[in-house]
Amino acid sequence: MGDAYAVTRPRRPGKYRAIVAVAMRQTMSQRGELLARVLFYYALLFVFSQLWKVVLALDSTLPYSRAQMLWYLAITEWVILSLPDLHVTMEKDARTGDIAYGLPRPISYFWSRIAEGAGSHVVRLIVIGVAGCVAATALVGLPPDPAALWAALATGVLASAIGLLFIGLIGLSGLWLGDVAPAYWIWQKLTFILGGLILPMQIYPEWLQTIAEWTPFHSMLYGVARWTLELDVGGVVRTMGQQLGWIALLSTVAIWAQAKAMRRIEERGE
Amino acid sequence: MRTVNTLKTLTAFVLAMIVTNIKATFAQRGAFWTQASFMMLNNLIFCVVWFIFFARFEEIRGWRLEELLALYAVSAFSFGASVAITGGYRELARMIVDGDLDTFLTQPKNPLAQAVCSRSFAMGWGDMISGVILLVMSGYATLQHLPIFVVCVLCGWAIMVSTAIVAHSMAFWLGPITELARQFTMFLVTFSVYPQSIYSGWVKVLLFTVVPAGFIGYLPVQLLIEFRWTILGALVAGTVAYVLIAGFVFSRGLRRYESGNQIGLRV
Repeated sequence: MGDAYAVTRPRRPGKYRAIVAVAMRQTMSQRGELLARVLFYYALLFVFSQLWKVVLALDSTLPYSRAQMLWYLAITEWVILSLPDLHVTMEKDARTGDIAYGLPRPISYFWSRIAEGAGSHVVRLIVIGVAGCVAATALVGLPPDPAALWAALATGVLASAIGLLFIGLIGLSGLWLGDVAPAYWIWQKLTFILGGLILPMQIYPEWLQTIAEWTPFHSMLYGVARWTLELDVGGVVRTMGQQLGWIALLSTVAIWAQAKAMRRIEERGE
Repeated sequence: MRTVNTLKTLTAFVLAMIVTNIKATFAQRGAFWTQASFMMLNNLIFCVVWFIFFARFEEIRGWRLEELLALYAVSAFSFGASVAITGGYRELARMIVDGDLDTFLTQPKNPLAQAVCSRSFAMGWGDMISGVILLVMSGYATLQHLPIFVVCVLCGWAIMVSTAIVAHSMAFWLGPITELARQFTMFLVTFSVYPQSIYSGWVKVLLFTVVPAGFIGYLPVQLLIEFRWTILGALVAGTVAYVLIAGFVFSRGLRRYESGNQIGLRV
């Protein structure tokens, strides 16, 4: 039982690597689920390729092309749709009491779930990423500056870590909230708005841009996709720095929340 | 005469199930209000994107912010009613594969009606409330438009449930396709909540056939903008057609159904 406190940080990377590998294999075997996500992704890309075609034909004042706008969306949706439903699993653990079975194990409950989510996430990032590149190229051609894809890949991996930590924290909140779906919906919508899921920040009013810049959602979505609009190497490096800062902050919160959760389980037995 | 009596009995039975479901959902008051209010907030937050969009762009082929909000109002209310009152359709493919239809088949009432009305999700009430709020925000909540709105959401609800029944019933032939069937419903919702004035040609045909989002979003908004009997006729005819198709596909599939050999009890 005491070991559960001792491993609030992932100290045994070998075990976590094994969990990541198992989760990757499991996700690869769930072809129907992967296909469903890809089809949904295609539907969204198609809808917005039509929307931007009509809107940009009517309004030529926007300094971006249809290709830039669609690639922007393809990248933000890539990050969002690749995230695993880790919060659902963690909520179930809390509700059924399965979380207590993890206590005697010489591994942290929270980080083992994060490792599981990471394994699943890696497979989805690859599958959905490739599918998105194919679809966006078929719809509007390559992005005006193809190097933007490398910038998106570098920042996308760090953005995914931010998303995974958020979802893990929402899942852990199930111990206190019972049902995590409402918290997840709100988080998701805040990510959509403050992250610029559909519309780039340049279209937002200035006051909202300023608010968004102070949130992790900004570097989680806009910070990844903005390079399709205007590539700036210095900006990529700055964004990666900000992302690492958010990862450090969220990890600290996660360590604190995991300790609180374990204490609660030990005291209340739930 | 016999058909009329059967329909009357079925309607009374469905209404009784719906009332029971609603009572069960309201019984867990804390969970109900949390889910409903957060779903409402969720929908309203998402609409912020369109406020930002229309602050920058004036219109999308004749659709302004008002029409977009009306579109959201009809879609959110229809989807909300479908999951709050007839939420069992979301589990239909799983019930078919797991043999869970056994408990419905042993009762002397229509198994499809029982299965569809067997679940209720509190979040649907949040969708319905946000539908009303969005209608008020759109400016279409007038005495002249309210009856049209009611007809539109009834049709939208019936079409959403019917197309979902067809998608889930494919499990009779294809096996475990729950995730794909759910994704199909999400397709329908996705195509319903974006302005359908952006489509043309074969895509428009698809939106009135395979993925009938045109009946949930496009026609209702056209009716709200300018009432025409021909549009209303098309909406009602389309709805009746989808309901009949859903009933036909499910009954054909039921012939292939294999019992799950499970012992179950419905209280």
